[in-house]
Amino acid sequence: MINKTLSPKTDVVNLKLIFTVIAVILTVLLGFASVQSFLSYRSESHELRELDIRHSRLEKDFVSLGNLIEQYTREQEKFQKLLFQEQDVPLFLEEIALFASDAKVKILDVKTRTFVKVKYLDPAKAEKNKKSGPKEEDQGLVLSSLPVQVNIQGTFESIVKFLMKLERYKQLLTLSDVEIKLKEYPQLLCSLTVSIYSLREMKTGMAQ
Amino acid sequence: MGNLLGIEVGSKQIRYLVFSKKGRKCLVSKKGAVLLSGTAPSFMAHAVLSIISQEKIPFGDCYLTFLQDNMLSSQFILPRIPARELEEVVRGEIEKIPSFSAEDFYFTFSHRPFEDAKTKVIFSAVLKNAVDPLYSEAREKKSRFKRIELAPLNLLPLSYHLHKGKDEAMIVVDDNATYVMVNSAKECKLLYSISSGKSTLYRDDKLDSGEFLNWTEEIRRALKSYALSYNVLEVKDCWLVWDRDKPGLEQQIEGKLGLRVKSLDITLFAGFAALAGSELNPRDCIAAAPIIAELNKYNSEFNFKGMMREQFLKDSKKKLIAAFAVYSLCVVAALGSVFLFYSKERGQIKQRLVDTRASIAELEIKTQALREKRDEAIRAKELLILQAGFVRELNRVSWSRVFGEVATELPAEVAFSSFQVSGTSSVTLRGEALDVASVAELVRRIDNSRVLYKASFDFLKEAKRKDESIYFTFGILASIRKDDQ
Repeated sequence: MINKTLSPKTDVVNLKLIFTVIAVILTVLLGFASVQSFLSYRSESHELRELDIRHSRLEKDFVSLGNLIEQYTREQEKFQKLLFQEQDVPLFLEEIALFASDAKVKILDVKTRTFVKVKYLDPAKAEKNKKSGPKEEDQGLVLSSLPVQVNIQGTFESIVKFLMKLERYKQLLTLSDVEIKLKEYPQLLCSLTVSIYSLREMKTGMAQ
Repeated sequence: MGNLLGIEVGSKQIRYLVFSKKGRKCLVSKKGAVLLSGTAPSFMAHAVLSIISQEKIPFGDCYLTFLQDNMLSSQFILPRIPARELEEVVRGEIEKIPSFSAEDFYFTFSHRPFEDAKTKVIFSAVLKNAVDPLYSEAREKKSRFKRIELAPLNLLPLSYHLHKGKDEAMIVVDDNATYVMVNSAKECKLLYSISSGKSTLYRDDKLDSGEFLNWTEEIRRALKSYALSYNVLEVKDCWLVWDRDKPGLEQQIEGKLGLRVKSLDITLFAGFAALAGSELNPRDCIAAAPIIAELNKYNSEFNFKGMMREQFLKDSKKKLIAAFAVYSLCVVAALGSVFLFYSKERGQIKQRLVDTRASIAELEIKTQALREKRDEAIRAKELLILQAGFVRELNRVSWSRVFGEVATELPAEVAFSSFQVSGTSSVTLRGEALDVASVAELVRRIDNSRVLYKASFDFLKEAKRKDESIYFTFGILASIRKDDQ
């Protein structure tokens, strides 16, 4: 009977088994570490992709908002061109005198008041807007009007001509409270309020 | 295939045979012997290496068979124990022999049940210092002997093949010892060693009858013991392995023991022959045994490979460690590079995550600020639109046109004294007329006018002038028609 315990094959097999087990453990450990590393990498990559997408959206929003604000600014500037600036008021008063001269009316009196905030067309909407807005109603850039009380004397034709010149003025103005009275025929007395408009930074408590 | 070298490493001389392979034939092309000049293992190693070097045969084609005086080949009986414990028991038994107790040795054994609850162990051991110098020399040359075996146990497979019968003896006569083995059904059942050999049997080249008698009697007792143990009538056949330069031993044994004695010869085995003219000796079978067994695929019950397993393990360990190191390097390199790659990538990704999060936070703050600015702009725009709407309401009336129209509609008999507009739509006209019909005509015309409508009397009074002529003062209320009305 062959004694198998003496067989070197058994020992070598055992030795191989030990080394194989160690190799397998090493492989498994390293494999586990590698797989773990890969899975973490994949998870973090995924997170990064999502963050990149979010970042990209935010960038688009940022650009879009910037464009929108720029558009608002341009619109505002365009609107402002239709309006009077602070420095335009003396010039306008001079031009009233010129118009009067051209229309052959006599300016009896010109009184400028102070800038007041223009009323809203729909107060309810304005109230709603005011409530939703982050700022107080009387703060920020608002449309303000400067009423100029003008008293003139002239014939009917010259007064109409004068009014026509005012109506065709290049910047926005309105005529109101027009009153014409007979003074001594054909001379008429005309009083009217010319309101010129400007965008002004209103301070709290400024009257409408 | 090159030549094969079979070497019998004895105590006093080294015998060797060179085999040449020619087709299926394996011819003994050369035989020789080298007498050792000393008993130290270094002399033996030197002689063996000289033969190998002289014959120019690589270690891988060399077969070593040890048969030395200081070897131990024997049998013992012990109570039956688990096979896995046998090795230690056999080692212990060998260590009981004084010459082996303080020395390292290689050994091989076989075991089989014997009688009731007993085990018979047949073993052979050789001192390591006899084998290791040769083994080390081969290993230094990055090679290994094809086989290292111990005689007489390695001769048994040869007799199994030749006889295939039951109860056959083999007597191996060495210089100073004789080994009697009996096998049955391809299993060695008896190993008995006698401490007298050729040198004691022959004195002055003549058989010493007294010694021979004692010798044969000892053999007889061994065979009888076997017959009794295994319930066999007698052992009749016997192979003899001895140095035939002392002739007539076969006949002497036959005469004395009544055995049919046949000398073991290489040429008895398939494919083996001697070159013409060369004379073979039964003793040559000892050197040839490993080669015959290998080429004819004879299996032995003794595990000679296992005998050298320490060395084998040492070599295997080196190979395995090398293989493991290579594998580990590959695995570490492959998986490590994967790990390092992803770790590095993760490091970069983490940094990018931190940067992106910071950028997102900054963008969110900026975007929020822009949103607030946008909301403010929208709010301001809506308010401006509402204000502009109010202004538009005011601006819808062209006063020059109103006055022009009114002047056109005015009847000849009517004169205005005042024209007053309060707010943006309500107009009060005052004037004088010569008759009421003219005032009524004026009201009608105003009502149908393109600029005024909803005309109504405010008042109508009669008045007298200084010249007593009658005229009427009137007041008319009207509304200004807006552009879309």
